[in-house]
Amino acid sequence: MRTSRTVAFLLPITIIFGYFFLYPLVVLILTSLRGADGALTLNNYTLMLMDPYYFRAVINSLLLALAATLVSLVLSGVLAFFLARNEFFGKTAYFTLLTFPMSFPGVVVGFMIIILFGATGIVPMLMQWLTGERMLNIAYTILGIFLAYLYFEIPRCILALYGAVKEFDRTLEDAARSIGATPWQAIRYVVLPTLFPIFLATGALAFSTSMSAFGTAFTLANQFEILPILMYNEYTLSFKIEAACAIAVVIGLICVAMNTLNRFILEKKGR
Amino acid sequence: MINWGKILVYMLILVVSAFIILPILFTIVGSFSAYWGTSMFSKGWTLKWYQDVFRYYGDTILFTFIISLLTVLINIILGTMTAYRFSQSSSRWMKLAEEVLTLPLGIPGVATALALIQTHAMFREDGYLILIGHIIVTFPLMFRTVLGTLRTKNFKLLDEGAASLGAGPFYRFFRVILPSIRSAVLSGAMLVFLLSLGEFNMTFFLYTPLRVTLPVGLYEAYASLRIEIGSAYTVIFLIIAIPLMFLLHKLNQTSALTRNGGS
Repeated sequence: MRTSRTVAFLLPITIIFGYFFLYPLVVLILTSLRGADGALTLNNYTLMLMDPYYFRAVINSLLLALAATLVSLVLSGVLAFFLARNEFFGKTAYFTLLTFPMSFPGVVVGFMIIILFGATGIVPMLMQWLTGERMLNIAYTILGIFLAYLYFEIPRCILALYGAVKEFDRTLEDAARSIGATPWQAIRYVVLPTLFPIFLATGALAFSTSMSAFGTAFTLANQFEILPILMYNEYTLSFKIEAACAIAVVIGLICVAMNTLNRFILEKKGR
Repeated sequence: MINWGKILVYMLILVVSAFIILPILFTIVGSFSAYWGTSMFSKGWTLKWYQDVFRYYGDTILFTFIISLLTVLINIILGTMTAYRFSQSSSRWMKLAEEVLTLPLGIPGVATALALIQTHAMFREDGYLILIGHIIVTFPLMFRTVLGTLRTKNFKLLDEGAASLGAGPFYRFFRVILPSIRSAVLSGAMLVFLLSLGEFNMTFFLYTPLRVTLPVGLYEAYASLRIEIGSAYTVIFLIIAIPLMFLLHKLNQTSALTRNGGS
């Protein structure tokens, strides 16, 4: 009886979410199921597998996201271990700097890659100074986009892994060491298998972030064929609204699935 | 004996750290350099690029502040009200509703934007659609932060105690609950502000050329202007974001940002 009086507290959010979020999402899904003649069809989805132009973007997106996720997990794993197991002067500042790029919009991430690998970037300038020739000017290539993905993934992965590594029960590792395991063996056979679920959860989140990344790649190469850019171009340049909606639904489903996997693993561990 | 494994690990740490941190430092240094070249200050230093940024893009900074502050304000009200009601019950329907309310965090900004632009293009003028979009995508951060606090502490008891003394629901909400969750609201507000400040993926679909936010302005500057101006403009973003990020680190709240897929 008492709580029923506070149902009024839910009225504003119900109206706002209903009208500005759920209703648009339903329209998005319905539009993705509409053919050129207005009839119900799955054509916009089959096109993504049949049409080489769309299919290439699907493959590019998946491969790029997978590669960025795996490489970030390895690199961030090393850094998370280092940070969790060492105390040194300025650690908080260092840690803040390393994870700070999480707050960057994709466009700024793209700009960081231009600063590093653009025509007058740090690395090409360094190469010129070292070898007399301007090399590694790769910001606007697929390698540059891959590095940009690493740039926004690594800070997120470090933060997600850091807590887990820090909380890891070291007595297990010490036990392995006491029966003669080398530090590497202890990490390989004791620590990593225990932390595997956290790596999996973090990887799912990283994959989702990579799949939905738009601004980062758009800053470096706005014609590069990945799903979010293809969606933008289909909508604004080709006016193929139905196809754009189908792409949006596909990216959305992948990301929601990955986020659900992440939360499922974390909640199972927390229990 | 040289431990090559250890050396390799330290090299790796060094390279990754440089990869992340160096471009930020160079952006700051380069924004003061008269000419970005092999030697940064061969032609001296200058504040000219900052003057240019304020002349060309001053209005984007102001507009972003207006959008972000309004987003924070509205979400403080919406988020606390909603979280308060959700903390009172845990039925299956409420669990489901909670999932729906956190959905904007998982759905890519480009998809939300495409959905919004089709149904609500009429709100696009004057930037109202940007505000609406920002409220929707940042709402989960406020909601979850406040709900988390309400669930961990013994707020239900506090609430019921006040109710048993005859306090009405609105009195309890404003006078009992709100004052005691101030720090959660503050953390949520900073997260919302940071996310709104840097939102690009969705805003890029919703903006009109007359009302441009800072990240969209950054995109234009990167694409068409000198690298020094791009750097100065980026530094302005950093100046706003760094203190917030530092505070969030202190409060142990940054992990909420790992869920933000806004790249």
